[in-house]
Amino acid sequence: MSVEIVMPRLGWTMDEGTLVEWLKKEGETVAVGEILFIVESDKAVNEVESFDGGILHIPDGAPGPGATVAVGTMLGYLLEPGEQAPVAAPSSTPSDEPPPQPALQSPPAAAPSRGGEPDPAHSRSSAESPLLKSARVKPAISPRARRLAGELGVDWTQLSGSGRSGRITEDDVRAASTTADSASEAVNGSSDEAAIERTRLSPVRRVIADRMSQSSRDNATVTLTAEIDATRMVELRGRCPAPKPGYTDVFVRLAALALADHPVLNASLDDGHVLLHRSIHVGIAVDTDAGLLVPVIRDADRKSLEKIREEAAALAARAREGQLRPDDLRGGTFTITNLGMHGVDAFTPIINPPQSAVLGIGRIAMRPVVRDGQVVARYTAILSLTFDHRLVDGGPAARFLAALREAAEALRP
Amino acid sequence: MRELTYTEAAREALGAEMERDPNIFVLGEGIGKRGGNFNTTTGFFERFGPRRLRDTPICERGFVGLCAGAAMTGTRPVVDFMFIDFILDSFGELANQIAKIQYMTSGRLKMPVVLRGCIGAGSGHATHHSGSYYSIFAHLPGFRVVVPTTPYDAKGLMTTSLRSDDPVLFLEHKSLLNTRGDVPEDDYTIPFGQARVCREGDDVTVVALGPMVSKTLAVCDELAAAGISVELIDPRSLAPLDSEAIFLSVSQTGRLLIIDEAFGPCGIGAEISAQIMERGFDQLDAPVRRLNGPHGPTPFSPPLESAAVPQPEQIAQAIRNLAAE
Repeated sequence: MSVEIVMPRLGWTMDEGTLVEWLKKEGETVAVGEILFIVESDKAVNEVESFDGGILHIPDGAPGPGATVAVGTMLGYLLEPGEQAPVAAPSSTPSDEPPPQPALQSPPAAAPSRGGEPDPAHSRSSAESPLLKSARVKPAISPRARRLAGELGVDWTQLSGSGRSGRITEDDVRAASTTADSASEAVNGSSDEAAIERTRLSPVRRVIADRMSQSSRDNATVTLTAEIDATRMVELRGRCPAPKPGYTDVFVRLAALALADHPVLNASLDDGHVLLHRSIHVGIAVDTDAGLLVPVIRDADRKSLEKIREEAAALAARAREGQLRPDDLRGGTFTITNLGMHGVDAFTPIINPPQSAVLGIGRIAMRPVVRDGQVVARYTAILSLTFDHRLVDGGPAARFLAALREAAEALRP
Repeated sequence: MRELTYTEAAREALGAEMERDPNIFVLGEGIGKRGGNFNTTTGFFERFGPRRLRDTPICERGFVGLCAGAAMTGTRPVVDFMFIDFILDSFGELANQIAKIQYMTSGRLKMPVVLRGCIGAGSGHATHHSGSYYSIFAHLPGFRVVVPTTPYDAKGLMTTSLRSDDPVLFLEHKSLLNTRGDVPEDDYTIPFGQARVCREGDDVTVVALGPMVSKTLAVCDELAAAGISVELIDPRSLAPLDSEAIFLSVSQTGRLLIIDEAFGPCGIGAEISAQIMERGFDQLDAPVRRLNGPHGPTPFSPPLESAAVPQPEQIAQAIRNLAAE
């Protein structure tokens, strides 16, 4: 029995992936558990292991390395010794097929067989069937939702579904209809089509959009700000040997230590329960060309500043190159975001669900400060702590922020 | 209003109809002086005499065939099978004669036979005494199949069955026999093919049969507290089936679960699912789901028997799963 190898779904939000490379060759024997190929999904690069054993067969015209295809697209087969590759049933109405989705990049090898003269000997070969198959893949939608989408004029092919396996449900269509109404009202003043550039959300952007709207919808957020004296921090950093830690690295360490004493800030709300995380995994917001990514420093309270600097630098580099692995992004319990380098003094960061707090770091600059009745110039910075008031009250949050400030001001070079 | 048990309600209807119509007679094993294994005819032997309460030997095919002939001559037989499982021994007479005779005579001959008996698992009677075979009869043209779940419905549907000129399967689930409920003293009928909406809701339509109705009702409040509003429908008769009521409900909820302790394959849930899919495809917001007993003979061991029937926790889980589709 042949086993189909398909583009796997490596996260709930993944609907397409890029085949980076095969790690096995055509005809090579694959054992269960061996790494078969590498896939780049919306946020990470993943090694995909084989759940079955067999002899790898990659049909001509299957998506090759570099092709971005929908989840579920057939990439190849695992065959038993001596077994012939299965021949896909011919499509009943191939000429009526819709054009492939934009995301589908047909490998050039397959293209001529669709438009040019078909080779009679291969007219029923399996070569192009994976492509035809994937071209038909659309988001699943319930009949009811599809009917409603027609009635409300919603283009459901652009929706992501909340049902099982991503199925678009009635609620999704109604929600989209409401959003579309308000969006069209908003731009009503400038109805000139040419004035608007319309592009589809990138996978990363879509994940960010979903998580941010979840955060602002579900969390009761309050932001506290406090100005700290950062002079000692500046001095400490100045004395560090190169490569010097960033201020973010210093705050990761200080926040991690403070979180150990204030566990309620290192918590999440889960279905009527409070989850206090015994481990402190601090996410660092990294600005990349693809969008915001938040790789995680694990057990940050148990790591030296040097170790944090080293890991943070490696994570940030991988994030910018699109090389983060799923594990780099998972399991954060608290987040730090630093906009100081862009000249921002204070802001209201947004919580990264399901965490309960996020710390924003503002610009460190020389500012006039009153000391013993005298105005003196000191390095200061404004910390902005956003917390989820469903879980954390103002008092504990303020005490955490105060502890962080004291720790920052008590740093010894 | 006065309360009766399910058995008392059905017996009251049978007694009243036998008073009204002298052509009605009952036959079966132990239904005379003994009054029926499940007290279906208690006191009737004294009340109506041996001509109208005919005890039979254990020969289902024989006495069912006799009823076919008796009905053709203008009487109205009621066969009391006790455990309906043994109706299978008379299946040839039923499927090939009783169900067909009206068609074959262009309706010149009527076939007013009521075939009653107890169905269902859950009372430790093991596999020969635990079956629910309604789907087999609902499959065949010619039969009416009713599965009442409350004392009120038992009386009303029994009266309708006894006045029908068609063969009727009147199926009484053993776990319901002693349940009590309000029953009017007056004579009343409930039409075949009229479902009852037991509870109104917005999110999920549940069609439940027999004791699955009360088991489902028992979890509806808990589910409502969790944000899942259940509309519960008791079809009461399976042939004819009130698919209109189910369709109207699914048009509101978009989701349908059918709960039936009988076997899933080719069962009544499959039929309901197909009818709703054919008629209401555009109303469905999720796949139609079924919750059935396992496809195997009912075990005797009480814990195994209990596991062979959908229980409230599985029902609640199935509803939650469907709501999450």
